[in-house]
Amino acid sequence: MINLAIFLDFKQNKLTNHSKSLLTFANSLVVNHSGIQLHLYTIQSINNCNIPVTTKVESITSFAVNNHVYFSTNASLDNLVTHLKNTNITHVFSSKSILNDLIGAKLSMILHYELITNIKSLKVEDGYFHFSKSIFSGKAIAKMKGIIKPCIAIFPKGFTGDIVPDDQIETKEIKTETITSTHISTSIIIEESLIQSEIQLSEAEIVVGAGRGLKDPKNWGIIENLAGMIKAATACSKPVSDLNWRPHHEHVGQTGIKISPKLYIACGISGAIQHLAGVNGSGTIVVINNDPEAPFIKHADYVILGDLFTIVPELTKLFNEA
Amino acid sequence: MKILVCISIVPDTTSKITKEESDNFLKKSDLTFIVGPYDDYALSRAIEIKESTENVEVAVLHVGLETSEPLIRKCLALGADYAIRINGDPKSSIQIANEICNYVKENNFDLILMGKEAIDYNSGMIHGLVASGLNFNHFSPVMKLELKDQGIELQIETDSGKSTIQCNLPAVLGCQEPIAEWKIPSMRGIMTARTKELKVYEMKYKDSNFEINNETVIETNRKQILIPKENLDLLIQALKKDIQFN
Repeated sequence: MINLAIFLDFKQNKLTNHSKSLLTFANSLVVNHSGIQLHLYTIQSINNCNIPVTTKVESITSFAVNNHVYFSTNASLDNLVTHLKNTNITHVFSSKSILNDLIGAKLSMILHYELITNIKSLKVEDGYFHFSKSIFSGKAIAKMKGIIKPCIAIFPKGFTGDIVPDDQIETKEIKTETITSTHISTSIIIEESLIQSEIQLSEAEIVVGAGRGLKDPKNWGIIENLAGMIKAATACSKPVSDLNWRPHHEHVGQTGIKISPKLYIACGISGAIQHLAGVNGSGTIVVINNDPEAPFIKHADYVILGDLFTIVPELTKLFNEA
Repeated sequence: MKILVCISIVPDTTSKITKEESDNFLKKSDLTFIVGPYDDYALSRAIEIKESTENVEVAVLHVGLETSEPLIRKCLALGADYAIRINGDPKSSIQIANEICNYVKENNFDLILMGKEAIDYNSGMIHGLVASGLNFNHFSPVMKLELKDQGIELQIETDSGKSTIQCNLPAVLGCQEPIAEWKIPSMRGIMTARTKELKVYEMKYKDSNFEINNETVIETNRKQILIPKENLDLLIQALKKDIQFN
């Protein structure tokens, strides 16, 4: 018997798209294989949870935390661990996020469960998990196999592409059981600053990135206008964040954020291999550059050669009219 | 104060990853290896702290084969005091984490730093596993680190922004930029590194249940369609078709 726990993420009390696709996938495992039971967990205090009516679920538990300071200790997870043990949870699936990574690693160590990450596909067959994972920053794939022993599995954002629009899903509301963390952390939050932009870079379906080709931080207006027009998040290359032209949380690349939007528009970015490592998971890539030799061109679906200071505003205008 | 910096040895970002058709696994022999870029940030910060504070000792630890030793020496050349190599070819994050925990339990450290992830298998889990195994405080990704009173002050990235945290030691931190600037070893550093101690122990923990049985290179063939700048409408039309853009 597999007792599968899915950790669901909510944003403004709504299930995130990543959680929706993970739930859909988990439900397909339950439907197609006997002996798998589904339990849902949220690391947030919510009273009711709306899930698709087709989901076969045994229980929903919300783990309320008062003073967890980002789950920085084992003790902060004590009551959750007890609940997982009492429910005989053998497998935990969650979507990649900073918080879920912190929790996943600790649960794996505390429960002595295996840990698998960056999963691109997963199948249950003949008593084995067969899965593939993305390695070398998305440059290669490893196929793996192992006996279905207890494990914690973390799925990248955008694990399964198909998300049924909200208005097409009939949902049922289920009351959650609440458990509370009683642990008092010795770490203290001195200051918190939230990212102001409405669209978070790692979640965005469209991203507009800009590099040194912009020449000056004062010129970012055209990038922000384009991003605003197409509801995109803004990103930048490493040199630009190193020069403090843009904040570090916008840096996309090998040592920055890795993104996989449906559309990535790169303006004035030459496409160094370190930058490509952060964007090679994008669906469609558009490159705007005045250098026909820029390495990015070989890694683009659409290329516009020319002066971005005229092309970007022109594109914004056209998107507005479209 | 004792700081341990754990390093990964990974293929250089600019390495082209290839595979022989007859083979099941990627060709590793042609690759150039480097110290993980995030680990390099962690090491640089540890050395900055050592240079600006009295009584700070920095050790570097790597779990891997003897072929990594020139790169471990490079870390010593940057200013680490001594190094530990736990000999073996680890197959999973848990295995590496157990080796690190085992060493730390026998040789107390106040602060354990490493990169937020290794750029080969990109799991980003080892710092969390180590912190949990040792029952230390844990934060990642850490963008600023200062010693403060008896503890540390950190700036960390969260899913919704940034936070400044005050935390007690011992702690395990996963580091990322801009925690420090990468360093280049000095001539004197390279000379002294030759005589610094590099201890070798054997790996103790067993493998993971999961085994890699095949690796493939991802070839993303982009369309590379040139859109004339006089006719940007073509791009809008193409995007509408490609991604149901609206």
